[in-house]
Amino acid sequence: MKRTVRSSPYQVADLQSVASVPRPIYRKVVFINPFQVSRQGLEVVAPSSGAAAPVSATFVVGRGVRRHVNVGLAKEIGSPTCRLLREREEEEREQLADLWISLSASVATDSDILSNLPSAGKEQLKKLFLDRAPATLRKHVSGWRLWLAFCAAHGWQPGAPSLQEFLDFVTSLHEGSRGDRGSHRAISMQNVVSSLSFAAHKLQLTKLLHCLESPLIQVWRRSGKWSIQLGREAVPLPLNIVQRLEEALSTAPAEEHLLISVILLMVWASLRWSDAQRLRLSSVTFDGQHLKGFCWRTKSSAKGMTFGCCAGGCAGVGWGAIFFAEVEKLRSACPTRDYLLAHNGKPLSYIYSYAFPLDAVWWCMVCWLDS
Amino acid sequence: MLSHLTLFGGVWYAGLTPDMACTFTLHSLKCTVLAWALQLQVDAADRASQGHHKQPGVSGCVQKYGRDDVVGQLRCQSSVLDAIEQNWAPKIPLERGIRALQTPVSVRPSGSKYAVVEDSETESESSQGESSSVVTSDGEQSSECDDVDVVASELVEFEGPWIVNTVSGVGHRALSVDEDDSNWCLACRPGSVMHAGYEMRFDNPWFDGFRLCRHRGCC
Repeated sequence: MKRTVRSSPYQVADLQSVASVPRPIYRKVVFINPFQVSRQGLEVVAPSSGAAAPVSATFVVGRGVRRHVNVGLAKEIGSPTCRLLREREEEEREQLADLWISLSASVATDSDILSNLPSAGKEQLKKLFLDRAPATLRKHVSGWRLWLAFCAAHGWQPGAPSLQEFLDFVTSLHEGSRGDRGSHRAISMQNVVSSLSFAAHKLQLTKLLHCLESPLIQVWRRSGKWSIQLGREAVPLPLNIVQRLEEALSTAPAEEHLLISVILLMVWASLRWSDAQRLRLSSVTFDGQHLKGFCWRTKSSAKGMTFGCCAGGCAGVGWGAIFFAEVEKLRSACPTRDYLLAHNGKPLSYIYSYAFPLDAVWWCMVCWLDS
Repeated sequence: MLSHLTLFGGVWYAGLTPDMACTFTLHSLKCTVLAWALQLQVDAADRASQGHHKQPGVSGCVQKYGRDDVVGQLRCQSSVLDAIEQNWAPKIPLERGIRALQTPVSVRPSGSKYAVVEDSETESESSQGESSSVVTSDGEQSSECDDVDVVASELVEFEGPWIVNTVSGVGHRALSVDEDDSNWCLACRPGSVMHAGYEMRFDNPWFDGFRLCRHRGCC
């Protein structure tokens, strides 16, 4: 689906004359990143609207200057209420299942399941989607919505398209994914078709499944393999970064120990961010040499996994003991707590982490690697 | 999405340019010890345990009835730590091992057990036994920088200017359209229409809280 590009009233050839052009609604940068950093002063200022938030980023970034990172962790320790992250995820899964049920209403007549259960309640149908992780349900929503919108625009039946109609959609997607740019770029074709497969399988949309299994569509799904380039992969950290982080634990203020030691935990135990966050605090043990624990759910395992790491590290600081002390503080406040980091009294979520708190993680590394 | 949390601030520490620092992402934490262990030829089963990966061709029952999921992981880390104690320094592979990141001087703890070691030069001397034969060669790491190479292009320092979208908070690299630098465009979308929310910056907008555009043209 191609989008036409309209000329903007604000179009200018010379950026120097931008100041004289009336501006559209201005949204402060702090919505993207709560910290505004001025390079001149290298001073990090918390957003003015967040006065009640426990973000007291009064640190100054620069050589030889006192640096301080506080992402609200210390206040969370004393929080009397402690709601489990698992409960929050269950709630999110329920909400997403509700959303999927509402999105499936337009294909009810074409669905083998929905058409055979006209009197089924919403709660019964929700079970169709409750077996998937919230992230999976969330991921497929956008692709399915795109298909519904495309069908609505063309007057097609989303649950029973003809092969020609489906091929038109795939072709349009393919062009969009290559031609469009920026925020309006169409989602990649493979992801959208995967979303359609998910919905077709869950709702038993026979005709849609038939289209998806067609050799013609399968060819389209594999069409990118001849143009695949070397993937962008995460680059391992150099040894000196890890060493400096460990050394920072001996000089950092106490409120930053948790943040730094979580980074080290992720390094030494080879954990993803989401794995480390889903650590069951009651399971963490430390015998003086080894630190062990249990992540109750991970990206690759719904049943969770254990981890173990040498607590001594490579700088001789003994980061594991410091991490364990921080964990003990957290679980003394809330013995059932099942997550590590918090922000504004809530578990640091995977999505929200992009906006602010992980900035703080990296700022923390900036600060302490510099010391 | 997680693949590019490019706010790593190695800018302030020894030798890393901003663009080099942006090479690292949050997922770098997970792969660090795994990459080191491969260079040391740690047993594949231990590396699988370290990365929480299933061993190919091995029944899950083998692990299940072993009753201990962390012993392999601990053994893997011990191998790495032992090598580090003996002044072994890992290479940082780029592009599936084609290149290696040129890391700054590795500053070891000040104790007598450690010494200051420069990663790229002491590799062959400090590596012992099997490890020396596994570590990838870094002889060509800095001599050839193809601009078609995505990762290599990240290592070339860009000195500006930038064009920032003050509405979305995204910063882009700016490209000069004319020879006299009077007209500029976005490196990622040279033909795009810019509204008045765009501003030109001559200092890296990342320092002002902007996110940097992830398009290949901008990074």
